[in-house]
Amino acid sequence: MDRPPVIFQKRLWGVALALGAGLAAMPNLPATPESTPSAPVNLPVVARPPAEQPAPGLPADAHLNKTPPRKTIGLDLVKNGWTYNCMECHKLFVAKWHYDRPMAEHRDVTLAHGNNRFCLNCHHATNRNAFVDYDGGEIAQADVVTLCAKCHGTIYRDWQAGVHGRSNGYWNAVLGPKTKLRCIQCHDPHNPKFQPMPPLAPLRYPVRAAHPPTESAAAAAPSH
Amino acid sequence: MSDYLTFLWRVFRLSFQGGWRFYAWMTVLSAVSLLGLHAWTRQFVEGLQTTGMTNQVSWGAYIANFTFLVGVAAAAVMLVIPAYVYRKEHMHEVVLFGELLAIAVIVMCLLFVTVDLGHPERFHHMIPPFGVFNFPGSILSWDVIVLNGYLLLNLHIAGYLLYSRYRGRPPTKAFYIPFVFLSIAWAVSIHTVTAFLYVGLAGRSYWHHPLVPSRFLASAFVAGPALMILTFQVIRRVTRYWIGDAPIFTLRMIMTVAMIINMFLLGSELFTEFYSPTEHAAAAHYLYFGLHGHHGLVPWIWTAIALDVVGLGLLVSPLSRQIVGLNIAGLACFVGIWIEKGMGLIIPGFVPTPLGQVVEYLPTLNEVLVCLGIWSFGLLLFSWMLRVAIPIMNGSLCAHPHLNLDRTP
Amino acid sequence: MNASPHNTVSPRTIEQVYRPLTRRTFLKGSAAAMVGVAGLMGALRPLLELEHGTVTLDELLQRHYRELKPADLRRIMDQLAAKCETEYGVHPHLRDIRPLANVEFGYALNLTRCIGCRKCAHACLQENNQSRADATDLEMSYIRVLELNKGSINLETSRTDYDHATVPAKDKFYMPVQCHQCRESPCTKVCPVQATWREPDGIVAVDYNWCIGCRYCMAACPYDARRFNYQKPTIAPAEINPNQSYLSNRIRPKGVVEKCTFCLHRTREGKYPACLEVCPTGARVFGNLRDSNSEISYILANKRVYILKEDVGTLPRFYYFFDK
Repeated sequence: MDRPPVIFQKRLWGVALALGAGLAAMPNLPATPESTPSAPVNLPVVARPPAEQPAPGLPADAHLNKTPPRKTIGLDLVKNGWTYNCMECHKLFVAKWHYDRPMAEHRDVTLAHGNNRFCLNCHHATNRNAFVDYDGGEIAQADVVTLCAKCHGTIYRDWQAGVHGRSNGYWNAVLGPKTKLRCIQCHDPHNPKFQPMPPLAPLRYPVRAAHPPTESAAAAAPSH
Repeated sequence: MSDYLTFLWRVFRLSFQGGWRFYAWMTVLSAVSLLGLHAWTRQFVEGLQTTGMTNQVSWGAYIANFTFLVGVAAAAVMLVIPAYVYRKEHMHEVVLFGELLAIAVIVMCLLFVTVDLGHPERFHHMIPPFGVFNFPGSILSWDVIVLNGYLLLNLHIAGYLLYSRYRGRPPTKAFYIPFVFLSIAWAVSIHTVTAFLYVGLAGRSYWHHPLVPSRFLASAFVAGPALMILTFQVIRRVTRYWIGDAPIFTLRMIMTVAMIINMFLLGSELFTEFYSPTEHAAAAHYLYFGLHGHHGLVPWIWTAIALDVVGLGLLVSPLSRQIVGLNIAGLACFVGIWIEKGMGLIIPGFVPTPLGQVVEYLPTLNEVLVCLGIWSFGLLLFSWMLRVAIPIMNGSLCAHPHLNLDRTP
Repeated sequence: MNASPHNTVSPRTIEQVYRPLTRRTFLKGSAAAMVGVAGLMGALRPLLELEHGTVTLDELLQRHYRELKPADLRRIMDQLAAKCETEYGVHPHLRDIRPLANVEFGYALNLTRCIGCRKCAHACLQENNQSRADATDLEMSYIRVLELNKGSINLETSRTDYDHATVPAKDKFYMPVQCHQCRESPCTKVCPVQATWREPDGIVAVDYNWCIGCRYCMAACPYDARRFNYQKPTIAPAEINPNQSYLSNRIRPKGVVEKCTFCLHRTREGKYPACLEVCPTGARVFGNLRDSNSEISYILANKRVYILKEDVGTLPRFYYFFDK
């Protein structure tokens, strides 16, 4: 035999095309931290591990209420070792998504995140364990802050400097550690706006003072 | 020295000589003073919660009375100036009464400050070298110096003149004339320094303006002479000391001029505060018209202004040439200025607070009793001083009396 | 004086003064004196109820904090700790913490983030052992949280007694105010005994054993930052914070002034103040102004910072800023 038959040549082309298409369809390598935007100049160096739950506090601080404002079961599960591995289910369910198709699962999630209408604004289309970067690449779960930084750059910059979000512990790094919370430890990513909370007891009109205001007057007066 | 001790002994005995009216007066005053002392002791034990003061209104009736009385004490100078500077001879017969009044009133001022302290037993913290005296930074330290200095000055002048009179020898000019002139400047200074206590505080815009010391002095020179005029008539009535009409009418003239100035300054203040609707005037608004539904002081201040206007009207009219009209004018001015300086100056400085909170103030019963106790103690002191001074000035109590043992009573 | 013929005096009155004391007069006088003394004793009767240990010779002879020798201060603190244990059954860990070297504190508050929840004000009450068991003393917290109307920063129309179901309320924003530890503090200027003074790290401290309670500092403060103990502090023993310092949160006596000290018992050991630790939105920023890498320096360099009542000239160490 001196030349392959024509049909064999066509199959070769088909395989080559399929390989090419497959190569093209393969997702990019996950984005490495080095590919995130470089830190602006003159940013204060924050040499502390970024992802920590706030320490329960020194025993001496038991009287201070340092719980983060967002109570989630998820974060507690993560603390106890559970990892979010969404692909366990989603490798079975095809990652198809359409604007109008309602979700069968995750119905407890109401998306109220500003102008975001689409889940895939943040979640990666095919790898549900990851989030999506501008170029379609993956952002790992551990680097979720860089996801938020895509839109909230100024807040991210402040967070890196230590002035956004709550810190607990020591202001003096030499004398002790300081906690730094990640975005989702305070903000629910699907509904990040802080929910109003009931205030603690107000300052009362001093008992010894004269002419305490009547209940109706206090309620009606727009200013005090 | 033994002469001086004899003098003191005779003064002591003279203190208890008097008719039933004298005893009744002094007993009532003593009783009220003891009541005030009791109330203050309760305050000492329980803390200042027995008063109506709060974190927002941290100065009240005690400091209000203190401020008013410093003005009255300064008004002794109103007798001294005509007597020594303008050489009006008729004033000499009454100058001593002004100085004695100043002594009694300064003691009242010091008592009012003491009862206002949270820890009066720590008074020595002010006295170096053990204590720390924040002079010249703190105006309160200036006030301590000038008030005590004024007290010592008047004690010296009055004491020296009385003792010289008792000994029957003319007083050496060098021992009292310089002090008298010093007391003129010093009297002005006690009231100016007390005014500066408030004026220097930039955080309280009601106080932080230059009219405050001017009004202080003007109103002091009304209230002091008013009290003096009433005192002179009491002296005329219950003692045999003769006071002519000339000193009284000199005081009337001083009162009139000072009251005109006071009312003019009041008018300036009202115009400045209310012409433009600024928020600096929130305290003045509270005082004159009420603020955010709170109007506790409004009736008081308008009563004070009405009394002042009535008093001024009487003073400038011929009605006050009659002693009755003058008495009414004096009383009206005295009460009006007491309200103005107390409720009209101290309390609005705290309402609203620098953060805009409105908390009102009224003294409690305990506080009122302490104030009454101190007033009656001051009156007691003044009455006692007159009781012993007038016979000395008359020449009846002297070192070498001519006793006629055969005289029929 | 006047030599008028009208000035006759009653002979009887004056003559008795010159004569020696008769027995009758002496007895009358003694009786009257005894009545007077009895009256005086009656007036002073409440002193019997004075709590033991309120006024002690030791305390009267104690010198100003800045003049105390370390041994004396230690002895005084031991006495205070013993007193706390006798009264409340809690033995405090009372220390005297000196300023850190090369530190000047600064505090900033983000007005965009504050939601007016008052957690800071209540944490302050707990951290600083403030008087609060009695209803008459409930408002001793050093922090006053003001609710202001949007549209301007107008303290005059603000309120501190808001009690909405949830905060933040619509069209309002919130501004907590506490002692600003001013660089040109009017309070330290007016204290007649210098019981309050500026420490090297910027904190304005009060020596509670030196204060005479005149409250002039309260009149002078433009921020309504100081509180006075009109009564003996009332605290439930279970709520006492035992980590105490002589100049900050030890249990104060009645009759003295107190105020925010930026939790110097925490901050001088490098920790955050209590108000910052509990803020749920992270609106508070604290640190060392001399460290150019600190968070507070970042705020001052990068944010629109505003000073309350700047026109009064107090140069405070407390800054307010906005994010948006």
